[in-house]
Amino acid sequence: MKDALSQEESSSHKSGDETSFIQVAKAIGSGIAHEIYDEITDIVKIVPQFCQEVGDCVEKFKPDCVKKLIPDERAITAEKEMEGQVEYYERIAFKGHQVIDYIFSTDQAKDFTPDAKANDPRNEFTYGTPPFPGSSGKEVIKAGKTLSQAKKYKKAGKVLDRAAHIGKDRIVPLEKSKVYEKAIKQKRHAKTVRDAMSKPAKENQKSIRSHKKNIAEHKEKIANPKEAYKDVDWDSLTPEHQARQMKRWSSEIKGWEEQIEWLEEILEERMNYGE
Amino acid sequence: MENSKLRKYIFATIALIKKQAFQAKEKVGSLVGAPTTYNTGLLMGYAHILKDFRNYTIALWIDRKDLGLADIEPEADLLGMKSNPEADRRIKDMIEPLTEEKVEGYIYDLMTILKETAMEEQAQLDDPATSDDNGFDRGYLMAYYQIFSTMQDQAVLFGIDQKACNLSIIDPDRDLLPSLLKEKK
Repeated sequence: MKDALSQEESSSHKSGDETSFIQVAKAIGSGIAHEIYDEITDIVKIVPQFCQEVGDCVEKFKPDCVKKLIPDERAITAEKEMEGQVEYYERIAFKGHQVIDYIFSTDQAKDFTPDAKANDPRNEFTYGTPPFPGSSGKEVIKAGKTLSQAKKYKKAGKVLDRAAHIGKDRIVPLEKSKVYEKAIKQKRHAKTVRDAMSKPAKENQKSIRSHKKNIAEHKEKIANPKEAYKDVDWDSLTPEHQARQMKRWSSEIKGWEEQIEWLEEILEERMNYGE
Repeated sequence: MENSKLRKYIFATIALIKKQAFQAKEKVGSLVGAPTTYNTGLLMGYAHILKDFRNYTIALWIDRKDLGLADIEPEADLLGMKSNPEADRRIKDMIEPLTEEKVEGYIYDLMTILKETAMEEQAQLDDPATSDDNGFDRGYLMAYYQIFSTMQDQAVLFGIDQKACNLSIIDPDRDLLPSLLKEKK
């Protein structure tokens, strides 16, 4: 806005047209006031008081106009009885926009009627703020303008969260962990799962990487067993011996794969915990 | 933790198992051209079980030195395979201070894994279709029998609660010995 005003000011000086600069400043100022007021009226339900406060401020300068637009307490009670609370609220909110127009001598209030707002093409756009590092989907929801939009933001925030590995350091209490419950039920790696659940994500990810390298090395051994031996020639071993060793390598791979699965389940559970 | 009963128990037990494994290797001598016999099966069994002991330290971020497993590479030292220093380098900073809970967890989960494998081997030995006639499979299962027996005997000596450490998950005399003593046709 500052840049727009500066540019307009400099061009006005060159042309000598000061009226144009004032009109633009009014339009911008009025637009900002309308936007701010619109946001506030969407949040608070105390519009009459707000209007009165605005009126009190403005009264010092334009007492007559405000008196015409802001109803007194008796009129409010009577009008409330005549129409629904929502319609009443919207109508009063609209009067605030008329006050702003009057102050800035502009005509933008018509853009803030309930109908105009409902048909605003900007409603079709989704805009939001990506979560800050460490923030959760709940904060993204706050940034949403409407509930439906907020749901979209939450979903988008989840995806960003996953991408940034945020949430994987959450500690899930043992008594609430489905993964730990499963490990106990299956009687497999229960103590290891418990230990991994208290570790930071990067340590569990390190374990996963280490297991994956072990798996790759063992697959290489299965593909080329001769290379695995130093003091013994693979071909000199009996078929039973060879078969037993192959079975052993496969079983080690299975063990590491199982551990990776547990660790990934722990990280996944942390991502979803508390949402 | 240094003077913990549990830590002393596992350190001493692993030392004993390593000794048994090298004794089994002495009986076999060189594996080059060695026939598949009871003794080669026993040696392979020891090598593979000790490998499980080593592998499982990674799962709990236990320093192998703390358990006396840093000075042995079972497959290289017992079966003539290549040493893998790269694998050790990879896990050199995957270490946490040893606690009572870690040692207990280590023994607990390891016992489950060893028992599962032992029972699979036992079932294979009992199945006439898959059973060998040269003693190789019996030797392999015997390694499990001896290790379970050693772990339980040592637990009694050190006054370890066998149930808390899952050591009582198997009764080797009841579960494994009948298959080992069964006559082969």
